[in-house]
Amino acid sequence: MSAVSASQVIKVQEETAVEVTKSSDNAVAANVARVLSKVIGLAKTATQMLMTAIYELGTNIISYAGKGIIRLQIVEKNSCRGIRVIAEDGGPGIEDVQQAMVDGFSTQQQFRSLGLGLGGVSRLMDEMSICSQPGRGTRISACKWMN
Amino acid sequence: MKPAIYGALKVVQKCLIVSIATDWDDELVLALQKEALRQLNRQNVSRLVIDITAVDSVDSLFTRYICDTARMASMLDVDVIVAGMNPGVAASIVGLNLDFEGVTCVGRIDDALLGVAESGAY
Repeated sequence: MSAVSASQVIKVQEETAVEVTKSSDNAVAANVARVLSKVIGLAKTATQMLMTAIYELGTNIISYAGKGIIRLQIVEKNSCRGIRVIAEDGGPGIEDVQQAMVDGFSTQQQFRSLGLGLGGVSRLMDEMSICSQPGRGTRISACKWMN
Repeated sequence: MKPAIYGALKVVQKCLIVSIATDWDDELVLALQKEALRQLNRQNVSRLVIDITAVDSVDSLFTRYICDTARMASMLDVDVIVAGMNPGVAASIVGLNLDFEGVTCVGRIDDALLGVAESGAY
């Protein structure tokens, strides 16, 4: 659970939601992010890192929950704009969030050592928070800010 | 051959060039991997060039597929070069704490083809 203080109020200016059930849906979500990044003028490299994070989050949804939703938002905080990605699923949840941040960590044998840990996502994005209840689902929120 | 990968593989100067589309997905990359290995086995090819010029976003699975393809081709005695990686892709791969371990990378696809002439590949 992440605490949000008053100074961190984030205004959502626009949102697009993409349902994710298969690999090609990740590409759809990443392309939506590309368009939104262009709208706010996010740098190209930052946009590409954002898209990579979306692919990772989408792959996690498909692997663990089977299906979920990726919400892409243009957000503003302290008059700084950015893109927020919210990956939600009703899957098994994450038992140990700290462990899930370790590179290469995976509870699924077939994905072991694939580097599907969430550490990569946190490095690619400027901030990330994980809200997960075992047996209920996971909600990962991550932002990429202008500068 | 699936329509999506038709035209994505070409043999030029004994190089098999595999071009990956911007809107790739896992299925496409795996289909290309399979077709590339099939053609390496059937044609007189001394180098595999994986052209990622059009690719501007990647993930850990993509990186893994490319590394796997390169390793398989190496075992078939074929040189492997990844061409056209852009800075954002490099930054993303490093962000994921991965790399194209042991795979030669060149900036432009022309450089990948020049190399084969210089090394006198047959």
